[in-house]
Amino acid sequence: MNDILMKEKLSEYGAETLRGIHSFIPEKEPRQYLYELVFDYPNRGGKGFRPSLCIASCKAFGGALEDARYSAVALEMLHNAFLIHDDVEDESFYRRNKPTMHENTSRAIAINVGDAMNALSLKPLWYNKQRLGEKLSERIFLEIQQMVIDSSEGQALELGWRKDNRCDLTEDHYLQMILKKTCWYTCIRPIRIGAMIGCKGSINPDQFNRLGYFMGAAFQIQDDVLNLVGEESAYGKEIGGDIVEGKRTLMLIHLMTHCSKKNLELIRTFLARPIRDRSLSEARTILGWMHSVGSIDYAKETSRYLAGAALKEFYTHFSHLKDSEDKAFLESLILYMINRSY
Amino acid sequence: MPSQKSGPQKNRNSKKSGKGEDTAWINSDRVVNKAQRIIGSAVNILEEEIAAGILAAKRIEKKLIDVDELRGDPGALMNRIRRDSHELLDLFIDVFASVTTQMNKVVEALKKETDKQGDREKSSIKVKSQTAEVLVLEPDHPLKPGETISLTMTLKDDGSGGSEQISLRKSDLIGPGDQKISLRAMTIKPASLSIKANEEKDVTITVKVPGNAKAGRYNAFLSDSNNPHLCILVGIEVTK
Repeated sequence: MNDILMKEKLSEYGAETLRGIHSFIPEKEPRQYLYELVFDYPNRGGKGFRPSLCIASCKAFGGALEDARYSAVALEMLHNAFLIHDDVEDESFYRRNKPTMHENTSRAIAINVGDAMNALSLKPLWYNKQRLGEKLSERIFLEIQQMVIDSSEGQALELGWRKDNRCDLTEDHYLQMILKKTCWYTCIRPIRIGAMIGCKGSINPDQFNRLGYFMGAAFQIQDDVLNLVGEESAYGKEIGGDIVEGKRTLMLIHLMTHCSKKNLELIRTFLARPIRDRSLSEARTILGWMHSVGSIDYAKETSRYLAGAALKEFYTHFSHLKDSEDKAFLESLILYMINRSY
Repeated sequence: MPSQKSGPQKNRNSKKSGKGEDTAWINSDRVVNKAQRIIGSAVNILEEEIAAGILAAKRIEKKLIDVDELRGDPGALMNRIRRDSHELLDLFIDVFASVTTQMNKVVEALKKETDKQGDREKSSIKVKSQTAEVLVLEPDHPLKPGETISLTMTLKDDGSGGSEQISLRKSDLIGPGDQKISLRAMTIKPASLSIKANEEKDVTITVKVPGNAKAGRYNAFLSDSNNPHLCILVGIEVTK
């Protein structure tokens, strides 16, 4: 499957999921301060990556889109709720080429909208019972519940490191944080849930943990690299914003372990200041150091290794399945990550 | 003489050109080692996190569920029966799982009833009974994991009508807690048969205890799809 077809599939499943999200948002007051804002982030057009993984895994294992619909909707609603809160916590200015919700409204309103989206995302899981039966629905509910906990734990680590201005982190710290914060909810749980639905509950979903982890880690590292070297309009967020935010990316951790003591002290001082007192020009200087010690190349290389490992896991667990568009779609997602140029 | 186009020359060029050079000459061993290191770290971290999650979940469960208290209260057990309208068999399994204590009492009472009869009649059952007849089949010794046992029962027709068509269905063997042995471990031969008036036929039930079965008492329920009054309980005791 080529990249164009892959993107069309992402778009198709994303659109299907967005229709589902719309049907779960109540049409009632308060609209201006809540329900219209609940539409905001989903309508900004994300990649639809998580629901696509869930739906495609379900279909690759013999299920139907309708079987995975409610779970995909729940995953995407939760993802958007995370983004709203994430933007507040990171004090980000832009999301998908527009000001973040808290910049447009207020921090308090944005936090409340995120809370409401978290609660609204539970309702689709209730409707799973009609289609999938009680036992499988309960298992999916527990998958989602654990997914939210894992993400909170990962975010706690990252926020804690920023609060304490940790400059002694290692690659293992990063891998642990990214597993919890991103990989469980971006890749591992969507694939697990999709496969469980496709197999009507008769599969052990643990076999997909490594696949999802490697895919999610590769995906996140690439995303972080794009934040530094990508085009602002294509990326949708301010370039170099992650350095300003003090996000502990693999590149920053690599830099802090490879730069001179003098530069490390300058980085420490930069990160000790409040976010609003850090400038983009200082961030560009740090980016220059990243290039000179090879942090960007190192991250690209690491992402490629992880994507390669994901491909191996994919062939181990999906080769025996009948060839289908959705199986090809999943493979193409991983190949896209391996072959990606920046 | 080394070729102008050889690897080391390309490597020097790639260092000078800096970022964006994806086609530099690569030492394949170095690549493999680096890849193995990062993937190995990732795998270790994943396994540790999963283990920590399982431990935390078990600790919570231990705090929330007092298993002994629950088993002593039949009312609480009954409240745990789940209704799943999509799978009738699951309903049977849930009933057995939730009323383990009551079922064991029933089995004990039935054993006392059948003990009063002769050895041959101990494992026989009438197929045309108008009231529920329950036959308890169990081996006379506990079984070890991996062991196979065959139990024979005799189906009797009392001659009160024409021939009887029997079609036996089986459930999983439900054990203590959430343990169960799949119904695939049990074979019934013959599962379908026809018995003429006053005829008797033997049916053999073979159970192969899985190698990983946990110790405890396991009960399975056999029924006839044509006659709801015909019930056979197969009970086995698995020891370590």
